[in-house]
Amino acid sequence: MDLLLQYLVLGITSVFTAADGGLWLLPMGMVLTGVVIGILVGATPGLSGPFAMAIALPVLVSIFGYGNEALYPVLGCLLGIMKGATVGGAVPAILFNTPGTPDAFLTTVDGYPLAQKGQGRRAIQTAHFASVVGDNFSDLVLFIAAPVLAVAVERVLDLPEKSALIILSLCFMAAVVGKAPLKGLIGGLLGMFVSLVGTTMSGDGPRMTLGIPELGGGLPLTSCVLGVLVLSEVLIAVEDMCRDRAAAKGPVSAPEMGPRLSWGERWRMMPAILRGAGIGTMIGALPGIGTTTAATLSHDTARRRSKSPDSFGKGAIEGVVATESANSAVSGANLIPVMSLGIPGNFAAVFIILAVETIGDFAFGPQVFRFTPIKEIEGFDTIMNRDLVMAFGLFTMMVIANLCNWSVGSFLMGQLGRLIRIPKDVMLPVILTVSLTAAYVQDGGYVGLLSACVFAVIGYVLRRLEISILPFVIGFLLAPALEGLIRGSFTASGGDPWFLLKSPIALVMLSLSIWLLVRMFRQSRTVS
Amino acid sequence: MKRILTTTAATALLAAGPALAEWNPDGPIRLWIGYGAGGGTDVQGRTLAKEIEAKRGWQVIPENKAGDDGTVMSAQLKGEAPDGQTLGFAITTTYDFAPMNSDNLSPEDFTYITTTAGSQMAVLARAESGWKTLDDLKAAAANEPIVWANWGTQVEAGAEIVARALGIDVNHLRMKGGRGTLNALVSMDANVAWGGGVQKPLVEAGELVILSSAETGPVALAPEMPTLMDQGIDLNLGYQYIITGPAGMPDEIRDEIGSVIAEILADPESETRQFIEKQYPPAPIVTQGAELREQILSTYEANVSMMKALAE
Repeated sequence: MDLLLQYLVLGITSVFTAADGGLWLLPMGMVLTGVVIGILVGATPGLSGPFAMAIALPVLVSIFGYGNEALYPVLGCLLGIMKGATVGGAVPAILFNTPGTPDAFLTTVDGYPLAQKGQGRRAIQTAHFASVVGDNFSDLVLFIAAPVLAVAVERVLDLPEKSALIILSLCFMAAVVGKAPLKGLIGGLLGMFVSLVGTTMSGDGPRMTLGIPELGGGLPLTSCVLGVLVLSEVLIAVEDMCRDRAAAKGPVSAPEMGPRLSWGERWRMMPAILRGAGIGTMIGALPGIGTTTAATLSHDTARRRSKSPDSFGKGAIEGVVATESANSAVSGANLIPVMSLGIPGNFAAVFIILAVETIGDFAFGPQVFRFTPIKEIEGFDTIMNRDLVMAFGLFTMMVIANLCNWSVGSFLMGQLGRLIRIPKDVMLPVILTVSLTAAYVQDGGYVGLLSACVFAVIGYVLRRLEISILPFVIGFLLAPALEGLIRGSFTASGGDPWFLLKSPIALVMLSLSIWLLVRMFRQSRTVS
Repeated sequence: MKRILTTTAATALLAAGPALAEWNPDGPIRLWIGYGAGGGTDVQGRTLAKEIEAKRGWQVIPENKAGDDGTVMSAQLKGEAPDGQTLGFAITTTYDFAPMNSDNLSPEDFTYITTTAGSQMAVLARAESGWKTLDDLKAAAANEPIVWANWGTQVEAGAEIVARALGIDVNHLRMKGGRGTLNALVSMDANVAWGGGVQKPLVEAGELVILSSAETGPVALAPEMPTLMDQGIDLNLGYQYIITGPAGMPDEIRDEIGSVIAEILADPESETRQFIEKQYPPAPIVTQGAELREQILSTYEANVSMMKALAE
């Protein structure tokens, strides 16, 4: 227990202490900046948190560079954006019936009718309060669950089980993301296929590089994700804009805001908020399901438990509570599989992993949560698990982000109505320029730029074919880890061809994967 | 000890003549680091770049080009102009072993400028295993499967040579870099691993133990432990960190770059030197020019013979 406290204190202080021992406020400043950007981005229709994180990552890395000193400011800003965007997304959903982020779609169902009735301020304040409490709740679960899970994984799972776990996660993700599971599977497999470009781990040299030596180390990750996620969205938006130009609407005016939310009302909401947060946290801890499912499930549960279920959809404040508490609770819980296993669950988590991989000197996984005894060796150094200190440092920054959301978020939420008026004609060129510059700077000049463009086209085609991008990106990101694990478990077993089927745990996970695949095929048949 | 003395003498000699330099780059120098961000090579490369800039005013831009034991970087470096404005930072294995597995790379494709530090190559096990020596490992192999974590073809071949010498069977586990092998050991995916230097904090925290040195002499963390050679296994897996350029670089450019690096490494205040003293003790290893080229070419020949013998 002493050791836990020691690491906790070291983690908290590391966020505020520079290498020379002096006071260091940069990480805190970057968290605040991230939260403000996140809220603004979340409140702007057409933009989302992951979108802003994709652009921010290369920019932040080029400003702060590499190494431990860069990790805190960069991750602080990204965590801030992630949390701010979830809160900010509710504003346009409530005021203008246009969800700032897809996660806030269900907020429109009850939030917009409330605004129409002249209770916009109450709805926004409810959304803010439910969102922030939900977020804090799931962070608390993350802080407790991630280390426990990581230690369990280290003790129980060997190489074949870890391989089977990644296979199961990928199948699960394909099955639950989007409307057509088979399309999700195709997206995931395509992502895994493109990740094969680079070098094999066998030392046999380059693979699928088309003779381009620059691709020997694999496709540049950040540029490719930037292309498939952000640039493809820009292409779609430009196309949609051309089509919709004829039917362009004039600027929308904000409705009457109405009275404030009282503290008594906040207190009475708490049970409902905690229920929503519980649902969000459970859903968030599973990879790939994401915020929309959590919000839907929570909204539905609240409606079924309500004394007046008919009021849902017509301006029920409980509806706003249910959706906002659940979708915000996803973000913290989503980091549970990231921190303990290195498996991302949603786009936000993808960028946290990418940041950690780009900056280096830290990697998520079970080894982070080893409680190495802290020893001081005179005249030399202190021996400790620095990764664990850093993990507690990240937790500290998440708490700071939550505090910023409580304070700054509450103020900003009331001021955001006018963001809706920013025309896409202005936004799109800015996004395009920043993204392409970021790809150029981050990933070795033209290689980064060209990869981003090629992946933009891939993303565009996938979107137009209604294939979800998330399994593609996660397949792309996880495939190298899966290859390493499978190669490793094969060689470590002494070349046993049945290496994956000899452990009961791996067998259960693989059976579940096959069951998911069969279910996907059946579903697709029923649909067709 | 002999190596340390040679190193110190060479460093002092080179540090004495920096003012003779004539060459200056026409623009920024690109320093391609053959490994990912955050590792020992990366930290050294970035600190060195900063200190070269401070010393000479040249702009040095570090860039990571990770993959395949540095060969992803060296394959690109080979095609660059030998004007001193594109340099590679990797380990000697990148040039004296890796080209063996490549159709389009040879040790003759590069100009060897300088080494900066040496490895602390050792055989590692978890402290909780209770093993203290290679004999304990041999005894344990009778009762449990041995999985040996390594990061490349050369060290994997080394593990096989050790296993054959001990008369035991080992299964090999390939991880990414030295940090990867340590993670495999700590998370119990493997029970023996090679460590080139990153093992220091874990050995000092008492989590890992050194069973043997794989250098020509004992490693600094366990000076009492014998080398593999002491135990009759003819194997030296030690390597050095090395800066290279494409083949055909004029001697004056090679020597000027070598000389500024030697100056930095000789300075006790230098951050690079302090990092090396801490991570790759006891001191920087500076071998340059013709002597370095000779070392790489002869080690390459020795490695070719080693792999031939292993295949038989």
